[in-house]
Amino acid sequence: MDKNRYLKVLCKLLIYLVVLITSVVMLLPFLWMISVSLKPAGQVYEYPPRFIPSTFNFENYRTAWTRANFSLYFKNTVIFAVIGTFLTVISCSLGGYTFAKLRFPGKEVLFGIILFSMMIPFSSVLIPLFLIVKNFPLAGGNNIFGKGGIGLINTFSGLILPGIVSGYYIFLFRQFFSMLPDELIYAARVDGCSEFRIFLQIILPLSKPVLATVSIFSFMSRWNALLWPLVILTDPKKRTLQVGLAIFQGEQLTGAQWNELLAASAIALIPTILIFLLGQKYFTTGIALTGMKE
Amino acid sequence: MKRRIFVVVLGLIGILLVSNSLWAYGAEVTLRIWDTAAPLRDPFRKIIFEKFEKENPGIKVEFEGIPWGQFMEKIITSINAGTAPDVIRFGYAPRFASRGMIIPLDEYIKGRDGIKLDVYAKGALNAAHMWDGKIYALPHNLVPYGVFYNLDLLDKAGAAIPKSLEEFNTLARKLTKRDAKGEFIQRGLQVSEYPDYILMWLYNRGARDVDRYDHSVKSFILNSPEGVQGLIDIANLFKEGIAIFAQNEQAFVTGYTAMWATQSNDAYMFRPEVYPKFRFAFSLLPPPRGKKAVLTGVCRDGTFIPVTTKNRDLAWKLAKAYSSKEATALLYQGKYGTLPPFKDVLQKPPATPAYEFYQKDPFLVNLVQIALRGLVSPVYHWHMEGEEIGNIMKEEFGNALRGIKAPKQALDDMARRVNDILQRSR
Amino acid sequence: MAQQSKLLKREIYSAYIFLSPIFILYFVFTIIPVGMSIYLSFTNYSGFGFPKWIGLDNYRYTINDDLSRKALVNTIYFAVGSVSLNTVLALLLAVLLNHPLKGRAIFRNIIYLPVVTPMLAAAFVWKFIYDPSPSGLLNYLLGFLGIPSQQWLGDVRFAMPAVIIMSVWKGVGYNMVIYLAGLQGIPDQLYEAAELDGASSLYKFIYITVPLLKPVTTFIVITSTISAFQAFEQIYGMTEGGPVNSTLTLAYLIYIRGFRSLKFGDASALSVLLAIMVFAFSILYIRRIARES
Repeated sequence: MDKNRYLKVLCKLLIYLVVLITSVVMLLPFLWMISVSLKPAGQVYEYPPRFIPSTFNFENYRTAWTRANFSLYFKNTVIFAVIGTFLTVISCSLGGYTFAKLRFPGKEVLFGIILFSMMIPFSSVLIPLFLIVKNFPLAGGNNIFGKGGIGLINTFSGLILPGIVSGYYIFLFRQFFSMLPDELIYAARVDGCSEFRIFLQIILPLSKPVLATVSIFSFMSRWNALLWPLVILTDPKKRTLQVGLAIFQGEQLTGAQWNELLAASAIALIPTILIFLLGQKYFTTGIALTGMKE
Repeated sequence: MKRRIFVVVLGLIGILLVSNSLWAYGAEVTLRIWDTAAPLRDPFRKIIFEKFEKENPGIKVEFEGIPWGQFMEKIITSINAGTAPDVIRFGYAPRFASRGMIIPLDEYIKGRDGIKLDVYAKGALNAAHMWDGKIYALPHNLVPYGVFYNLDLLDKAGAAIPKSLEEFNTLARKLTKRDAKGEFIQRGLQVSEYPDYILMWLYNRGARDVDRYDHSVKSFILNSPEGVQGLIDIANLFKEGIAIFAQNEQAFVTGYTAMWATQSNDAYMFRPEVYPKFRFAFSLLPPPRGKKAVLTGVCRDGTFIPVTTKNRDLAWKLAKAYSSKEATALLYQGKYGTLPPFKDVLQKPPATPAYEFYQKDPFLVNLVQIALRGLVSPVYHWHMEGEEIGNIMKEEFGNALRGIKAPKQALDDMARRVNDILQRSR
Repeated sequence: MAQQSKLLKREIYSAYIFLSPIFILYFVFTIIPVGMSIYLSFTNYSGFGFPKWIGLDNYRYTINDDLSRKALVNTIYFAVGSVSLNTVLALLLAVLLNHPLKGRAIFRNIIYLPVVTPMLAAAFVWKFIYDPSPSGLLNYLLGFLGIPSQQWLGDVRFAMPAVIIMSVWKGVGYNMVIYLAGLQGIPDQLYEAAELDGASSLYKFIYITVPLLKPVTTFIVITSTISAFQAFEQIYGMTEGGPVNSTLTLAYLIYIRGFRSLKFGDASALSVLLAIMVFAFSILYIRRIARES
């Protein structure tokens, strides 16, 4: 009896230990980032390295925020993330609902095409996407064949439009909506409700969890996006935070400037942590939805 | 239902338009110019542009500094997108010229508002500024390669700056120290991991990378016996742990490495304003006893005009002003190692406070003597496929110095791959 | 009856309207680029001007090119390393966190935290952790174990493992949460029945947990592999493909071949090959699992 309980307690302690160590490993880089970002240049490479800096020097943050224009990039990124998320949620929820609840010919094929999109590596379409945006007809000085001007390069539309449709979110919405009872919909149909009104006034109010989840995921993914904004935005005043960070790294000319770079990285990174802490439950329920069997 | 859809679509378009205007800034009618991001040069640039604006009323100059690492992509995407500036000062002009992305400057050089080409120092105007027999870029600066020496560590070892390769190797060995456990506490040499600096050793033995210094070159010949010997020279230093690859200036300024083989303008990283007590000297990599010193460096940077530029006459004016003797003398005052490409500025620097520094500093005097003897840039700096060639050279040199391949094997593979590219290109 | 068919017609009509925005965007920004990618791979498009048709030349070059081969090997190395490590750790952590522990929600969130952060910023932090000087965090911590300072990202032996470890740190929380959800779906009775038969924890794990999680594992392996084949930002931030191209992945090579070497034709050929690899892998894996079950 006693030995059994002893083993159980030992087991529990062991589990705690492993989980605790893992958590420390997960958090350590962030804490180190903040620590270095508060150090003056001379302390960056001191030996032995100090974990808690001797002075809390926000100079590096000030440098990134003002001289390196991170305040501007922050604003740009917020606008980009909010509007992009809004458009994504509208279009993908509509699409997901259609696949979940509406009957129409070609449903499986079309859904297969959407799933197919999830398998295309972004690197494979980066270059043509750039050319398409540049040669977009009737935009930015282009004629109807898309020649002559700069198309949607460096524009907000060019930045946002390619990323609105995501097979992943359509899939998520479909999973969620397919769990809603059909009777609600049938009843409303019989009552003469249009499909769009059904979606708007019946389905959406019941979908707050999935809407919140996709909104948060989409927001984060746009906040963190690097490659497309890097390629499409040529005006420094339009840069997003991650692009600004990449440029900032290019401007580091000496080895000791890690403190500045990590302060800039913190500006790019900490908002995502804050959003996560505020909306934790939406993350985990959302992922659970995808892991579930069809 | 139809009306609902219409309203929704209208609303969405409205959102896009509103956000577009929140986002966009009005375009100005000015001349835009790009150069590499170098905060220390910005005050001089300001002076140059203000002078230009005063002499050309009605024109405004807008400058943007681009980080070196992103410059290539920015030029490509912006010329493609039509958002390129009117003038660019970068390098690698043949890569753009060969693809029709920048304009030849010959007619402007020979025209009324032109320039005389004999003012340039030897080797300043070279294949890095030309393509297909035409000039595409105005030379902008010279950057010699060599070795920085930590004078304090040399003094402590009772040594002078080595005059032969044999003295150099002995010194490097002497300055490499281990502790009781066998761990290295000091290294003789750090080498920046770019082909340029490793090439110093190969050139030192008399090797050349290509057989001709223009774009008709079809033969990469670095794997000659001299080249192999040169690579073995430096590979031995790595093998014994005397030399390591440098990440940045940290190991050098803290005295972990006693010497640094790199380009002269890396002196920027340990300039007196930042490290006032750090004593250093710069010199060529000394030749083997009995051989003549060989000079390595780049005259690669230049000012060029994208093909998308609308106002070419005005752009030429700006390009000329930015590359003039006065402008380059101001930008490259010999401080931090970069030099202007003009013969008489190098021979007789102006008597201004900035150049007083230049004349008193033995480090810079060496540099100037080097530059006046003429520099020839390694092939990947001026060839149209230079990016790929450079990658291959960096990889194979890395293989040799990290002991992954024998030097001869690495050079043979390098030659095979580079010759492939040379054959494949136009 | 008539009313039903009218309703059905309206349903179909609405369905197509609802799907039109996403399919229009999808067509313009996904289908057309894929087609263009294939087209460009047969041309010598050099980033400007008109592409000229050159047939299979790019493919011939790419298949024989040392650098492409190296990138392929590196990408497979990275994918195998990161996916296997990630999957195993995620499963272990999920099983551990499945126990009723105090504060397990907090631990779960902490382990998930790196997932939400931007990859580039995290890459910079890790680059400094891997700094070769003795004051680099990793070198300093390992110093307590008597291990001498290493170059990490500058050492050919360690660079790719270092990148793999960083990627696993970044992504394990995501898979762990999926596994956690999957574990919830295993009924307790199965465990209880096994316990009555005298089964040990290890036995329960191997013969109940793992088999029942197979569909979840499939999903995780496929999605992790697809994203591993696209690894770009961590390379961009930490190593730029080095040292001696030992961390050069296919996605990174495509990018620099296009945007630095101006060889868009070659880059497109590479991207077509990459896409084919991803499809082939997904289909083969799914088929194998389907056959097994």
